[in-house]
Amino acid sequence: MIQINYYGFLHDLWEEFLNLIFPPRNTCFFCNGPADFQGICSDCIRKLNNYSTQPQCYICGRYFLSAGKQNLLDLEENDKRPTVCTECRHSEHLYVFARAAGLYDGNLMRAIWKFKYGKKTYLTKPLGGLLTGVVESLISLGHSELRLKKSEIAGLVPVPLANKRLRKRGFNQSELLARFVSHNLDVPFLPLLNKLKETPAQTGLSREQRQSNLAGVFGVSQCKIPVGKSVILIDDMFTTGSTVSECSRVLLNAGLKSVFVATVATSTIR
Amino acid sequence: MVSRPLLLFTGIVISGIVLSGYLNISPGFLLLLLGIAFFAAVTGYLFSWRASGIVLSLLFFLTGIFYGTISNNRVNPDLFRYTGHWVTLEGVVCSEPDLRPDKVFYKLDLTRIKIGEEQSRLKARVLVQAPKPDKVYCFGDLLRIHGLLVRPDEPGNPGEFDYRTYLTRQGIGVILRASGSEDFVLLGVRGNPFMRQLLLLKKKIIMVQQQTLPADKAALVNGIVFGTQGQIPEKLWEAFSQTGIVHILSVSGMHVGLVLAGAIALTGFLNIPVIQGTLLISLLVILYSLFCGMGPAVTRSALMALMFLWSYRLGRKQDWPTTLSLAALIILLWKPAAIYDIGFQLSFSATWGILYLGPVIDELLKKHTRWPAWIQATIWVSLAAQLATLPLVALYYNLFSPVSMLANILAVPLTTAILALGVCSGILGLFSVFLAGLINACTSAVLDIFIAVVSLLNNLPGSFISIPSPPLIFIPAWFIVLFFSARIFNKKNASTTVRFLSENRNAAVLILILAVTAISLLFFKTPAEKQLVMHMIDVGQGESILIQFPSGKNMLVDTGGWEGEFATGEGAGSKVVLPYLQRLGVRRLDVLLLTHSHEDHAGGAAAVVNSIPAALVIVSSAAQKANSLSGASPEEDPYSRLLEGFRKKGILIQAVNEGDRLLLDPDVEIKVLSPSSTRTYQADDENNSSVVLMIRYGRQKFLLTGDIEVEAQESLLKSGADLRADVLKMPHHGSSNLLRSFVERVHPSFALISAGKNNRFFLPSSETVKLLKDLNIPVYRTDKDGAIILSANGSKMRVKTGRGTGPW
Repeated sequence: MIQINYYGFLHDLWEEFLNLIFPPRNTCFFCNGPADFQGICSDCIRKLNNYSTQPQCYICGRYFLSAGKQNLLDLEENDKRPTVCTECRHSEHLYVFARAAGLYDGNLMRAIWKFKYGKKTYLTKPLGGLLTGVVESLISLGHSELRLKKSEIAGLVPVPLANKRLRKRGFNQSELLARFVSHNLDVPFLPLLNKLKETPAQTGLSREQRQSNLAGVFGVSQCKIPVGKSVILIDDMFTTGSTVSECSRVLLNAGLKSVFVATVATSTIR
Repeated sequence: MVSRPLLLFTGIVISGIVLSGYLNISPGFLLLLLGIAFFAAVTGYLFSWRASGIVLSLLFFLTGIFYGTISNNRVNPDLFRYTGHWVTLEGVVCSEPDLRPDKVFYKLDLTRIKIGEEQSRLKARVLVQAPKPDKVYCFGDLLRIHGLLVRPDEPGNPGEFDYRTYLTRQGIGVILRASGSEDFVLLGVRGNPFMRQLLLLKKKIIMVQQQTLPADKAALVNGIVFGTQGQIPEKLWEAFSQTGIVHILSVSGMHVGLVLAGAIALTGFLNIPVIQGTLLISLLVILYSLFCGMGPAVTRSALMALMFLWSYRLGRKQDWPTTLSLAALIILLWKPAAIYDIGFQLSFSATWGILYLGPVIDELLKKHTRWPAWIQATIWVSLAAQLATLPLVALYYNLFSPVSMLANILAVPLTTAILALGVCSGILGLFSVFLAGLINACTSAVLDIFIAVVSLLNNLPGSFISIPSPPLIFIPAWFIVLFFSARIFNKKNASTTVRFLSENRNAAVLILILAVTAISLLFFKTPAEKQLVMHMIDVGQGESILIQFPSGKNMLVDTGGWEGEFATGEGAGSKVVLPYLQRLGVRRLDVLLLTHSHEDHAGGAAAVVNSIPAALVIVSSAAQKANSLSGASPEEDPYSRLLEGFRKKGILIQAVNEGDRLLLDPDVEIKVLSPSSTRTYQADDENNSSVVLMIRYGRQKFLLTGDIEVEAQESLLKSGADLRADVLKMPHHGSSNLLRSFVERVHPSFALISAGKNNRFFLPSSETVKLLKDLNIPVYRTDKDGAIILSANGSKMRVKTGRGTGPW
């Protein structure tokens, strides 16, 4: 028997309709230069990929970029083990792996800034596209390292916004990104978390301050928790990892087996 | 690059609608074709045909033709057989009444018509005109109205506003003229109750302004807030249009933008969640455009504002060419005739200018000036809009306004303030007129400044230049020039455009030629072949003849004039003759000749001379004598006051009589045949004192006879002057006060009569018409043919009439 996916059909039709009214422009989302397709031009992709060859913490995914400060790298000669930053090594990390599409710098920084604060929601597409790659690599990483099957990954969990902030901004950037990736990869979208308290902006705070700020802020929402399975936490930005750690703690306490973190951009290790 | 299917489809629909005006295909057949095309398009889509793009284009093209045809045939021809009769109509008021200072217009959806005892049901739309009543009916009222049913006038003069076509495009074929409130009976209430409540609310808000502000200012506030223009004093209106800020009085992008910004700020302030906020703002924008009557400019702005708003919510980037064309498509599918609407054309071209040319100008300004950002912004917006609307403004209003930019810089911030205050006082006034009054004290002060600024700018010398109507080809030429110049100045496209132009030399040369001709066409008249052109302008009851000599000089013989024009200064002179001269690009009158002092000949003189300087005014020598004899003091006599006004302006006034010659053009001989220098004319003998001119160019002669009656005709016959002429302007609008022998002596190839349609003197008289018929002289009449334009090159003559008819 043929199954007709009405929702999919309607969704496609709606997208076609929107394409008619707001035709997608074949210019680079990042630099506004001409592109061969809708998305990010090869120049900007190359700039992003420049970072991917840089050494990266195996756990938190941040880049070892501070030039010359080799001590941070903690490399052991002839050791095949991946490099792990001092922070991840010395403190207990709650998520398994965190990965990002690039460094929070240059065009990517501007794009995220425009997306979040300039409310240019059309940037969901290119940023979500980048994030899709990150989620895919996390799935394969989970498979190779933890023998996780794709079916064991219950879904994508966006980092929530407090109601007040959500109202002001009009959208939750993590949710938009998670929905986009979920549609792209056919992985369920799972809004498991909610933010109970408004916290002051995290910018400019130290790791300890951030952690204390966040204690008890996140809660699990009423929906059914996929106990014993893994999820991928989605956020736009990975700075010190306090937010995602706190979210992971809440999720693990709720009975999940493991948490992966996918963000669009990440920072360097200071 | 972006693919913009909607832009293409809109273009196709527009061409379909325009084409439908020239085709005459039955709607049923078109519907059949449309069905087939639709079926083909759906099949093509489902089976992914390669040619489905073409099928789809065809579908849109047919849609355009179909909608155009339907809209062209909306006038119910059954009503035409009732025209010229007194009838009683029953129908529902289907739009907001259009209030003017002295009258009111309703649009009526007819349900029933009664003439005498005969009654029938008819579906049609009728315009009802009534003198200013005490009670104004509103949308949805079911009325019984008694009045005279007439067809709207066709324009008599070429280039004039075509009222009949204008109404026809709204589906209105006839006008009912009611004579007072006793002709109206309210039978009940019909119509959309939602719209009715909305318009009642608007009426209340307008009333609030009228209660708390002086009439003129209330009209201006309501004009700025709602775009209701009927009540604004004509002088002020003219000042607005001459300084290029008339767009302020028609609700458009600026107004909707301000309302949108206000609504966004309000939802932000009240901390309304964004989704609900977006819905609320959308609702507000829709309500506002309903309030403003859903004209093309309002609808366009509202649609674009909604798309702007929702592009955020839907996570899409706006593409303005698509948004603009979608707005056009929606308006045209709703009202195809909007394509001919001046407001539609101006609104869309201005928006195109602002969005396409604007950024380029902005970039140039930022590079070369260090002015504050808001000045730069006002400059680029108004300059872009002015550049893009220039050919249309030249075509429809014969205007070019150099102060427009300055006026906009000053007026736009003031308008913003007035709009904000007006909205506040209007809404508050619904609850407390007192509070509205408090706010409006402020509004009034801002309005004072506003009006002062506008009239100051309007009075600057050279604040506006009247330019002749450009030929139609000028309009596309101008837009092509704009398109390419903007691309060359644009950093991003410059290199590709320059490469394109250097690789296609011919295209470059073509564009250069276009640019030069476009600009020169606008400001200079093309040198025509050497000829004498005589325009007998259709001025209604009255007379005005413009003669353009082969050397390029202009002489105006009489200026027309409606009843009361001496006193008001408004009428044939300002509304017909002046625009006529401006359309032709006449900037200076070398001679203004007033044959005699009657209002229907000299009434418009003041208005004409105020705008087009006259070097010399020629009058009949007898007129002055007659005046002194009549005993009227110069202050009382409007004609003397007129001449006194000319004298004060420093215009030379010359009285002429029999035997004088006017040396205006070396190739043209102008002889004055009358008035006689010996005869004394009585005060009631004005007509006989008219200046009679014999104009000869090569072998062709024209006899202009003013209003002379039998006595003057006799003395002309007796004087022995050579009266033979090819063209005879019939004396006194074709009155029966005419000698057969005079006409026989002149023996013209054809005659001209200037008379108003259905005038109360019943001119031209049937006897004169019969006489001309007997003598086998064809006649051109302004009441039937409109303007009569004779072009003579000395041996051959061509006749053109405003309505393309005649001779009779």
